[in-house]
Amino acid sequence: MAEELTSLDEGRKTRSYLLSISLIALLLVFFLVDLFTGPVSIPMQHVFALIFKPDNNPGIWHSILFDFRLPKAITAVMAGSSLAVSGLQMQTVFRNPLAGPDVLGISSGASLGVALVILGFGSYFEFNSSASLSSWMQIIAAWIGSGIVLFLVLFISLRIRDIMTILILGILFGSAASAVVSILQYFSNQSMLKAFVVWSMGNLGNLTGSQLQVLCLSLLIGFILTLFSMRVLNVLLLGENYSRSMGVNIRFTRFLVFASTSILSGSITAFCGPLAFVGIVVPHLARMIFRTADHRWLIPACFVLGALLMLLADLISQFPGSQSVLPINSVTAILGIPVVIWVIVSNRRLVNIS
Amino acid sequence: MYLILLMTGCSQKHPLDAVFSHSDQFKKVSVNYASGFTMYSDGKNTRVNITNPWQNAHEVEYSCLLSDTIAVSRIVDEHHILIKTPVRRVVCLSTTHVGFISFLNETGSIVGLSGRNFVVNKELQDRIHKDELPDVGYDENLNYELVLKLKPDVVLAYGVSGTVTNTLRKLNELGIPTMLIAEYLEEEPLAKMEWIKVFGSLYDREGLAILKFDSVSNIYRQLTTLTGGVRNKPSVLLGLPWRGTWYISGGKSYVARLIEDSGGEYLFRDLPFKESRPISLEKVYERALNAEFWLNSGDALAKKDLFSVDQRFSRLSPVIHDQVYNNNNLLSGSGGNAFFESGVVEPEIILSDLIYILHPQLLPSHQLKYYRKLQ
Amino acid sequence: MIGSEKPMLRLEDLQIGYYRSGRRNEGRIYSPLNLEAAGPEMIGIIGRNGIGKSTLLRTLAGIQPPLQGKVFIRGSDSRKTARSELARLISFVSTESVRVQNLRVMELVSMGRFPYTNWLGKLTGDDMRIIQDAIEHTGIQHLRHKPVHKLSDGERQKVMIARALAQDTPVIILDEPTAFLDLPARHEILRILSNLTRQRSKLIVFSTHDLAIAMDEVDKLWLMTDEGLLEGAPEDLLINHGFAKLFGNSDMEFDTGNMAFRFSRDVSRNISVHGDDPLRIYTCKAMERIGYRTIRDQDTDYIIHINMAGNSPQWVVTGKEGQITFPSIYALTTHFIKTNRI
Repeated sequence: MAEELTSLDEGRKTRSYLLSISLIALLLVFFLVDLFTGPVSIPMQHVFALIFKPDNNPGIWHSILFDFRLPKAITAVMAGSSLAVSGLQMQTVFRNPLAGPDVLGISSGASLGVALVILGFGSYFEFNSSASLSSWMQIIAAWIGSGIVLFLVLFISLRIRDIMTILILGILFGSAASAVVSILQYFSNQSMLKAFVVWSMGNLGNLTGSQLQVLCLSLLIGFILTLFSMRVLNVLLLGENYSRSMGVNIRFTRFLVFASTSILSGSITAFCGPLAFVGIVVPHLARMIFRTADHRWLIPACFVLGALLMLLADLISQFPGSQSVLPINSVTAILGIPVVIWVIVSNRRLVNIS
Repeated sequence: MYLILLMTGCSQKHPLDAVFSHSDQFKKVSVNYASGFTMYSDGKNTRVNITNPWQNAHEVEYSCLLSDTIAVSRIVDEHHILIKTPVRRVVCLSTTHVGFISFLNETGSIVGLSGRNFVVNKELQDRIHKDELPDVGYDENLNYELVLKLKPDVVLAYGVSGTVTNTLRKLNELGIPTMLIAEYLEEEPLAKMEWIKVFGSLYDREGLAILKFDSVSNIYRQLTTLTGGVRNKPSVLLGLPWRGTWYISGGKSYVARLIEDSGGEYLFRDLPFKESRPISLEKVYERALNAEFWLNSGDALAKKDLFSVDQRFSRLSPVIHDQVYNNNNLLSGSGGNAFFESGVVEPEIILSDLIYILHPQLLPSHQLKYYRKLQ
Repeated sequence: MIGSEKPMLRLEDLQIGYYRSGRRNEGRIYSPLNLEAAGPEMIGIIGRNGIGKSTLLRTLAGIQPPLQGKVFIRGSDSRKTARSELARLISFVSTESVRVQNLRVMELVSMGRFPYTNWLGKLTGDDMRIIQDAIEHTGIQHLRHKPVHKLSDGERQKVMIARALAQDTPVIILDEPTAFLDLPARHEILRILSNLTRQRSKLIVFSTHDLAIAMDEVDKLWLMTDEGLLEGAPEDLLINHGFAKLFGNSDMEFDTGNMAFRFSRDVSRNISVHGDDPLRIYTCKAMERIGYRTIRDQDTDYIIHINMAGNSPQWVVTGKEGQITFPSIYALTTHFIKTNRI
């Protein structure tokens, strides 16, 4: 009997390792495909030359590949993985299968920051607002916006015990930020509105080298924080009373998780605009595929699956052809909504989180 | 005779139909370049028909009778108005109108405008600083009460889309005659400038308008013959992405025409439209990498401004070879650019600037007025 | 053993309750407690609903802060001890049901090792041994790979206890561990807990509504009444009539004969019952249920004789109207209920 039981354990472990390897392989494949898909078509014979002997082929293809495609693919990987990991953490801390990284209003805060730049001050400094300052100012404004919401949420999480109260307050902060954005939109003219709407549709392709470096650095910080909360998240699944009884500092854990989520999700929103659904959907996919509740498996799984999903979304968004590109937010929504519906429908089984 | 009918306000179905319809007394005024309007004159009165004054408009016509013998201006209906000339009080909703009006030396008639910050004209700037010229807002935020208070003889408006008819209707309800000036829809620089004739009629300065226009168009035509024989046409990139999207003007736009007239080859002349459409950065890059010149680069004042929009621009050939010029040499300091104001009535100077940039040997002694080189 | 002179658990002036926006002493729900548990034993907490049993247990376990006063576990003041340190001293089992998908029993029990593992949660050989031991002690080896959400109530309770056991603490606190369980399961749980006390020298403190268990299985009772807490062995409390105070002013009384609580009944009539035990005892019980006092005297209006007719018993009632025979206790009692109504 004992041998039977251990072999069951072994069987599951082997399965998990095999799955991981195949997913990582899939990720590499998608990454390469994404590199070579875009508005400008790169002929096949150049593809291999470019991968294996990049320096021998300067010129347009080289430039397109390294200046446009590579940053975009890297951004997709970073965005998908960060949002998925922060979504997983939110779902565990709030014990809610529909929680996502923007449940605390971080995305809305970032949107407010950007709205103030594009719609608010933009109207007074229109001559200045278009070229020079635009990208960094937007990014910093988004960061500040999400940072303020984070600060508020951390502040209340230190004083309020009940996690549901924190959730509701977070949602309210988000709504408040959105309301202010609506007011700004109401008073803007056509071109500013269009600019803001375009921003809120998300964009993976706008990052340049230095921006990408800053993004990766901040994401690294976020991921390191996540590593430290991995095993606590496991225990948190049992509920806060049990966690406390086993020595978990609930307030500190929440603090850590909120900080990590804000850095991960806030950075992505600042650089790429608000990206929806990935954070909610991927954790469920990870649980479905790996059939475990252990965050030491789930967090890396979400990392890889999130990156995969985002690359897939990016590929789909190029679908209409060389002239037009679908906004990335719409694609993630189309991919994500069926999964969300499935989660809700099967929620009769899932009382808490899976 | 028609005018007597006007004055008595006879209640026939459309007593003014007669006035607005064709008649042999009204002779067509020659309009050679512009397609957005036609003019008919009988010596004393001028009828201006403005057609399709916004993008994608279809079979829309506005008819204005400009006459110095009627007692008051009158709005007959949405598409027909009577304006007493010369107008003495004018509200402009675009600074381009200021360009036309200052060309005729009538800036004194402007009593209100939209976008005070963007005005370059010195005289108007003075009045603005002394707060003698109010800003009336634009689009949904047009301050109708203020416009009413200013008692203009005419409001010069423009509309990018059909929604401008709302503004038109509201102004009509208030009894304020409004004209839609659609010079921006013209596909060539001379056509744009030809709208000066409409302004000329408004101010009873038709003669001056025609004179100046003929002179300018002559010079312009001479310049085009100059560049006509040029064999080497350098490729030219235009524009700058705005907030992440690059709106590229089509091959039928007036900027494309300018480049062609100055002996250059517009990078996107194959695009068969006249407005600007968003093109993916990658596609632009593909062609721009080896372009020879980069002009009209948004509001960049130096090359570093380009880099702060997108670092990848440093790889573009015109940037590397120092051939970036921008049409923002004459600025008002608060956001206004003379290119869009006085530039509309000085297309020959703009053309000269461009020829000097692209083929300096053709105009060796020219000095740039609207363009500056980006360092 | 470390600190063998120090009691395993000591409550000093402990006031339990809930903070009310900063004002202390406002949310206090019970009088200050001064109690001690010197060594390993089984302590049961009983009291009416709402008196504060759960609050007390949670305060003891360190999950809820006391309003005032101290809790000493093996000499360490719980408020001054680091959380992780406290988690090695005291573990907690509640009535909360854990509904998590994809979690297997083995993984849940392993979580009990949390206070001892590193940041990666790696389990050492020692950890595995302790977990295995916990599983064996609670008899759930056959459930190791079962998903937690598919467990029955009894199984789940054992799993949660196994987890607390894996936490390897000298004190284990349980909130109503036998609630929702059927009788055999209840006894099984109690047996497991009792073994922990006797064989592993652990202090077990638990709350229960089941008075039979309280009377039978515990070493000491903490009886929470409205007038304060009474402490003692179950039998001590019987002697002191402690149980009478348990339910305050209600119609409960403790039947020392049957060693059980029951509602006091209006006893209006007498009746005598004759026969052999255990039939006689059963019949008396049934008659008492319908409001009769059973005495041995023959001088009552009705007399019941229990006879055997072949293999089945019969009840013969002799009274004014003569003799009536009933084939079952049910028929007997129904008859009396009917006649009393008239």
